[in-house]
Amino acid sequence: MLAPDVKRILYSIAPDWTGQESLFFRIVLTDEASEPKPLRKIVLHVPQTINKAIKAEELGLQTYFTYRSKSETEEERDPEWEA
Amino acid sequence: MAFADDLLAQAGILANLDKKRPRQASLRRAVSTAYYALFHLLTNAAVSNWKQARLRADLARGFEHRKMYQTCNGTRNKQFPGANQTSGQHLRLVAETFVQLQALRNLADYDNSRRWTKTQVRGSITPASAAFDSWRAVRKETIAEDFLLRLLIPER
Repeated sequence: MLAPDVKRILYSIAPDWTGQESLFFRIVLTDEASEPKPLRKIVLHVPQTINKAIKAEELGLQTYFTYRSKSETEEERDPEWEA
Repeated sequence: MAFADDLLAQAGILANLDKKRPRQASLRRAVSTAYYALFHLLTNAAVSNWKQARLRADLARGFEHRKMYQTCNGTRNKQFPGANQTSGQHLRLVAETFVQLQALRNLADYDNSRRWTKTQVRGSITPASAAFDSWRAVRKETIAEDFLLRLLIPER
């Protein structure tokens, strides 16, 4: 559904700044998809698709999305993005 | 160009300021600035409905981040019976983007343990830009006027 632009989807559950239990998605994109033009479409499409798939609205879940390119993920070596 | 548009443009400049190794300060300020761009777009739209122009700046100070979150959180999945379907979609996108950006802004401003990348920051600014477009498409509708009031005084 999200391929080939999305390489990996990671998530964690934690309270957001208001204290509401939330799902934080970390989306790893291909380097091509991370370029400004394709990214514009992706950042609108990915949350809609994931929220629909997990039925976030019905479950009353707050979801948040952040994105990194594959190269950035490899460069940063951040365990949160490599799990 | 209005202040909110200037802030959005500045967010883009900050995100692309350092070509090779972006400084965390530039990236974090870019995220925060994108949030404040949308914040000022909405609060300015709300106070511009106040007849006495000299009181608008004081009125703008009455907006609270948490109350605006509360209204946006309630709007992002809201249905608007009787309203144009496209207008409803635009308003939901504005509300959803506000919620997303506010959370990111809190992380960017206060969480020193977190590192940001250009894609993360562009992924925050791009929806802000889309929210500006959506707001301009819907701002004259009744549902948008009601929404502006609720940003100041949330529904009980």
